[in-house]
Amino acid sequence: MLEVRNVSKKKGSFSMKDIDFQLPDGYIMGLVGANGSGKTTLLKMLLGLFTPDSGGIRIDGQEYDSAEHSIREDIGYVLQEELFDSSLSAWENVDYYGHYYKKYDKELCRKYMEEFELEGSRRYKVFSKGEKLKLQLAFALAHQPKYLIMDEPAGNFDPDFAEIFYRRLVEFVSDGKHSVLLSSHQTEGLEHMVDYVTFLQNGKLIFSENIEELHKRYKMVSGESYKIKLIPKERIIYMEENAYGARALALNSRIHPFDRELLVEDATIEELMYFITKGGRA
Amino acid sequence: MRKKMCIVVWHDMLTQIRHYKWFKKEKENGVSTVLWLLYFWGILPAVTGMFQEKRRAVIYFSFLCGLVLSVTLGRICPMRLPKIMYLCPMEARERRQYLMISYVTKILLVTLLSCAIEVIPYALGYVTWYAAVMAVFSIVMVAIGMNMAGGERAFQPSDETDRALKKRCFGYPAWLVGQQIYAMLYYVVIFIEQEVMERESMPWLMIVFYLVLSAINLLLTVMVLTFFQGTTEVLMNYEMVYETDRVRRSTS
Repeated sequence: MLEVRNVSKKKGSFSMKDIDFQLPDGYIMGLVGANGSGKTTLLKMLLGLFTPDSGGIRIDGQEYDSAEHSIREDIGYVLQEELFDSSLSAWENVDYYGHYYKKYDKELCRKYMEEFELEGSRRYKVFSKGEKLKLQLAFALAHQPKYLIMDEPAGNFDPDFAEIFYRRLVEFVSDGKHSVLLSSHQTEGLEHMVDYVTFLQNGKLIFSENIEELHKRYKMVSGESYKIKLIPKERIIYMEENAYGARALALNSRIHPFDRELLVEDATIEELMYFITKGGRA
Repeated sequence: MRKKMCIVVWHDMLTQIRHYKWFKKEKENGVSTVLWLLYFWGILPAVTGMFQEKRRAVIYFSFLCGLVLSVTLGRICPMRLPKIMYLCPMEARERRQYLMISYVTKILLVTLLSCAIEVIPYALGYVTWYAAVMAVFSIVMVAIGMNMAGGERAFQPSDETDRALKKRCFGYPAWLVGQQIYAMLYYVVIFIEQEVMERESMPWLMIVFYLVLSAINLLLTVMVLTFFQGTTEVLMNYEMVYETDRVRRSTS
């Protein structure tokens, strides 16, 4: 289990405060938020690159201070940064850095590279951004980690590969022992794949919940404006009106259902992000 | 494993040299580097009459080439670990090993090249063997101090209230100024030698001179190494090396 406990971190003018959530084994969590909301900072703390000012990060009950080596064995990563040596070929890179991992499987890495259509003999520096990320993914999967931590990987993948990528992630967690945490500011691909959503805004945790719970709690309501305005104000997170009617994100209630003439749907992650940001409350 | 690490270190160094953005870096450093270069390559030799005599010019520029090489290498290849090494399940010992291999490689490289350069004035009979040895020794001392201190150039104090870090960052320019003074002293001594040897042969006196000067230089280097003690530990912290405002600006 990945645990983030009341983590705070200040970096220049940016600060994160009291981030607290956990990701149980066997699930995929989407870390969402606008650019500059603190997603990368949080991921870097989870990867042990940044040290929290307060609070703690535990991975499988272990902390970096006391068990860095074993934690790193269990973590695969795909980051936006250029991690490999640009003067070496893809094969030379993965084989060299793979030596540091006990469970690194050279053949498995080659298999993934073939599947991802990466030419291993080419120099890393001539790879495109998407190919560099694919190589990081192949490398991460090849050392058979328990957790995959990824920073906005899908944005650089072509649609065909994005599908393969999401399928691989679902396969990865299917045994119930592995977990994936991936950040993104684009939520389309995440929608049908993630089990948990953590939403950050300006360094603050807005929510971190199971997606089913979110669907139960929030509903997108659309229809005529006056009918939406009849919903008690405390239930409306934010409402937007246009020439044809209105749309609102509202808190669901079993006791007080919405008007039958209103269209009530599950809110998408993007709608949740947008309306909660606009409404200023969750 | 060690052999493979050496290869990676060398690859990293070659990449850093190939991809060093001279103009961008110089712009960031302001005009100071250009002024220093102008001063050492033009103003100083002109004022001190180095261009008037071939012998003087060869002595001056051979030493200067070694110094510039040592300083430049330290700037282009600062001591730092590649990002992925902070993520791999490595022991602290292995991370330290990478840094030390890179450090020793740079010093060896400077030693070899400065030997090759100093052979020229010696072969032409412009300097004695012990003057040539002292020149190489001085350049190597610069490389030892520069590369250890140069590691500090890779970052700035991320926490402005951290006095120990700030002190280290201020220590670097202080050391650089000290080295400039030393270089001046070196020229003074070497040209005194020329005069003394011309009038009367007193090699023992010059050897004593050189030994004293080398002892001072050695002491300075030991002081600088003591001052930057703990640099490798700091360099093993990703946040301090890669995530400061200055580094973000320079790598963006």
